[in-house]
Amino acid sequence: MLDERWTPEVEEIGDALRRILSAESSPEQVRKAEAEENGRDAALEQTLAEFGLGDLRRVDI
Amino acid sequence: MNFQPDEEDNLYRDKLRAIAAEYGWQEMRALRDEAEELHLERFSFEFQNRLGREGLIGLTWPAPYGKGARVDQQFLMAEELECQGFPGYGLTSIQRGGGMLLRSGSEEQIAEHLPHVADGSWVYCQGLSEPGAGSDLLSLRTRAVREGDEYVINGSKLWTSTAHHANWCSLLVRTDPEQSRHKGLSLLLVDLKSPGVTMQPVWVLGGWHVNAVFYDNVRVPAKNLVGQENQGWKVITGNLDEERAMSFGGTETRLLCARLIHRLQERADTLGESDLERLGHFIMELEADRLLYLRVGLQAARGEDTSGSGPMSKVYGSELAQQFVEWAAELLGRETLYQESEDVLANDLEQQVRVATVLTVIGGTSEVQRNIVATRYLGLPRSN
Ligand SMILES: Cc1cc2nc3c(=O)[nH]c(=O)nc-3n(C[C@H](O)[C@H](O)[C@H](O)COP(=O)(O)OP(=O)(O)OC[C@H]3O[C@@H](n4cnc5c(N)ncnc54)[C@H](O)[C@@H]3O)c2cc1C
Repeated sequence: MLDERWTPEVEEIGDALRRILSAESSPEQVRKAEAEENGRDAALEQTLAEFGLGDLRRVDI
Repeated sequence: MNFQPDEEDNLYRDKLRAIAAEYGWQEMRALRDEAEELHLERFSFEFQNRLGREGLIGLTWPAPYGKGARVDQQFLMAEELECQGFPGYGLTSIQRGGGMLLRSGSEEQIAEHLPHVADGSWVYCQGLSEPGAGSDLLSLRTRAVREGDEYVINGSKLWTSTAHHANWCSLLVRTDPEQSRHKGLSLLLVDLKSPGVTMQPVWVLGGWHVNAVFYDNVRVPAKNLVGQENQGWKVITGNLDEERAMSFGGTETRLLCARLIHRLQERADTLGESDLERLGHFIMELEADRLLYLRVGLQAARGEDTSGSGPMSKVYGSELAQQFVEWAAELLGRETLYQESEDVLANDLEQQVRVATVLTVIGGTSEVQRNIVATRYLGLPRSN
């Protein structure tokens, strides 16, 4: 059957990601990263890698 | 998320496809001509009866009137119908009459009407708008007064589509003059052959006519009240939701776009970068329109509120139809719009320039639809 909604699994991933970003990527943290030479936030990148952001393509939407 | 229909999803689409193949191009064009001769919008009695015989009217209704099909199955069938160039408005307008009765009608009304809706033999129109009560529908003034076993109706309606060939009109009237706005309204099924009903044609830009319908002491049996007295607004909101779930131009535009691409193949070398960029842009927008249109149907099937997403789809599709056809006419040469020609595509584009304009008004104007998106979809407060 046709269905235009995200699956519960995708919604769950979105919610989890939202929680991480609100805790670890506050406006202050973003400004701090921007002030760095390379503009990156190594700690956040590490957390996102552990979260499995790179594997998301494999999730069945 | 799933946008890949399987065999079962395509069951009725394929049935329609097989019927379409039987008709062929010339016969299909003849059905469109029938609508023009009858001064109707996208309506063919021959095709309507054929769909009835094939059991394709009211697909989602429960047996014995319908097939209990899923909304997405019906969506794919209706989409196929328009994509093949068949007149689709007749089907949606009579299904609206049947759908209203299944939602709100009495057992007797359902038993009397539904078999005739399902076989395509009875046609229904909708008498809501009046002079001075279009966007502001709730200020309507047509009155019905109960006298014994009858209601006596006095007033006039404007813009009633299809009334000149319809058997029945779903008429929204005021039954309680002490109440205002959505309170005190009732929905009556009026036999359009009743004494006291008269009509005048009102020609619209699209090339067909709608009607000014006058009700002068028209007597209607009280058993023709749909739902409860003074609860007509509840009945009609279901119809309005169904109306906004129609494709208002987007699906027809996809067919025109495909035909234009075939035409352009002959002269691809004359197209500039900006033409190709515009074409690509329209292809994307048509895809977005299809998804908006599909979403309304799927939400309705799940019993979700479509009062915000329906208008979004309506305004998007109708304005896209307008933008596309103006560009296409420009591309083929502005003279397409002014000259009589043997070129069927040019003639269809010329007609669609006019039709698409009408589509931004019919069923509620773009301005009003945008207001509804703001209030119902975004939840913004109304201005006073
Ligand atoms: C071809 C066609 C077929 C139709 N078929 C039917 C039918 O079968 N049955 C039926 O009952 N009706 C039918 N209608 C009527 C249709 O629903 C109305 O035309 C439509 O709702 C607009 O009402 P109106 O014509 O009275 O315009 P008005 O309401 O007078 O609007 C005039 C202008 O003011 C704007 N406007 C009005 N209110 C607002 C607002 N609050 N905010 C911003 N702008 C506003 C409108 O957008 C419009 O540009 C049909 C109309 C057409 C053109």
